[in-house]
This record gives sequence, structure tokens and C-alpha cells, in this order.
Amino acid sequence: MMIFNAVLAIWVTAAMVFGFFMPPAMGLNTSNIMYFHVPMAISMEIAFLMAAWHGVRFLQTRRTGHDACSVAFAEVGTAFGVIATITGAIWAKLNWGAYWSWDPQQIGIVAVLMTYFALFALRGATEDDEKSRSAWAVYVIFGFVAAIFWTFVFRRLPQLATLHPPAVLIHSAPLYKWALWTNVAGFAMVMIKLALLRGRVQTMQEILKENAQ
Amino acid sequence: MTIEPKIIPVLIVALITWGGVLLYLLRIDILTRKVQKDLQQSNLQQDTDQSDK
Repeated sequence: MMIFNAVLAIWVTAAMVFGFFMPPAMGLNTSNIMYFHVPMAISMEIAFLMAAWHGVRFLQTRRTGHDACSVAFAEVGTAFGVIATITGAIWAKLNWGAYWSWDPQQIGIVAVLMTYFALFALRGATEDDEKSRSAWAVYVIFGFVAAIFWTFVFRRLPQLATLHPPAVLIHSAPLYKWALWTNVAGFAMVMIKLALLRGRVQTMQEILKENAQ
Repeated sequence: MTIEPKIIPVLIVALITWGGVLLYLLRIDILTRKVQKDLQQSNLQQDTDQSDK
């Protein structure tokens, strides 16, 4: 684990420095914001995928460890989503002149965040732990499907015009693509590390709660 | 060494991003301390119950 932590620290620092000193992309002076904002948004989606996967595993095995991991990934995903929304708004103000433009992608990220918030509201609404875990597991799977819609389908609807450039991750010049994917991998690893730590704490909380009953 | 004005928004975004990650780490730290405290109390309770028997 120590080796993983060391590799993660070096990777993230190197990726950040690399992203920070990259020349402007697409003629934008503020394009370096991309190396912070985009990885956070992608990590938020990966967190939802992981939360849903642990939800499926919980329904299959009924092991509380999977429920704890699902909650942990959802919580970290929410935190990353909030950061991605704030940094996105700052970038929007610099590029498009307004913090909020009702862009399909802006609406999409807020909709994903709302789905996360609804998950936590649902969990807090039930007193019975077993029912709460089952409801969470089912809803997190549906929530992930909704997140896929808001992230990948909604912004591509022909009726909606987006200010975001299309397929930056795929069609950029190799140097930019490399810098972006290095940062995406770094932030995704940070997200997983945080979620695993949070999952351990959640598991301990559950055990203590069960022992107290 | 001077900081170019175009770098300032990037610095602000970097600060918000890593500040947010740090805040979340602090939350985990607070939760961990709370769990440790609860665990100690639970162990103490168990010891007391055993000595009563």
C-alpha cells in the first residue's frame, strides 16, 4: 500500500505540473483549467460506476462491506462533482462571459449531482438499516443509468446546442491528449484512494452500530 | 519572478480543486477520530460488563 501511495503522490504531482505548464490549447489562455476540471468530472462518473457496481454486489451477496463501499464512492463522487461544477463555472465565466449559460453539459452535471443528493436523502429517510441498504443498492443502479443519460446522451440531443467543444479527449493533439489523460488517471486514483479510506470508516461505523444494538 | 495574469485563474482553479480534496480528507480524519473514540468506549463497556460477571 505504501508503494501505491508513493506512486500516486509522484504521478499526481507530475501530472499537475505537466498540465500547469502546457501551452494554451485552442488559442485559450485559460485552457490549463481543463487539466483540473475535466478529470474531476470524469472521476465523478467513475465514482458513480463504482458505487453502482458495489450496489449490484451487495444485492448479490448481502455483505455490508459492499454497501459501505457503495456509500463511500457516492460520497467522494459528490465531493468531486461539486468541485467540477465550481471550477467549470469559473472557466465558463472566463471563456463565455457567464458562470451559468444553461449549457446541456452544465445542466447534465447538476442533474448528476441532484441524483447523488437524492441517494443520500433516500438513505437518511429510512430507519431500518436493512431496508435502507437494499433501497440504496437498487436506487444507486438506477441513478447510474440516469447519470449515463445526463452525461452522454442529453448533451448530444440534436435540439440542444452546446458551448463545450466536442470530443476533446479523443480529437486533441497527442501532447494535450497525453497531458489530459495523465491527469484523469491521477485524479481517478485519488478518488479511489479517498473512497477506500471512507469505505473502511463506514464499515467500522456499521460494525459499532451493530454491536451497540 | 513575476506571475503572469493569465496564470491566476488557473491557480485559483487548482487551489479550489486541491482545497476541496484536502477538505474531504479532513472529513475522513474527523470521522476516523470519532470511530476510534466510539471503539474505545465500546471496548471499555465490554471490559466493564465482563468484570461485573
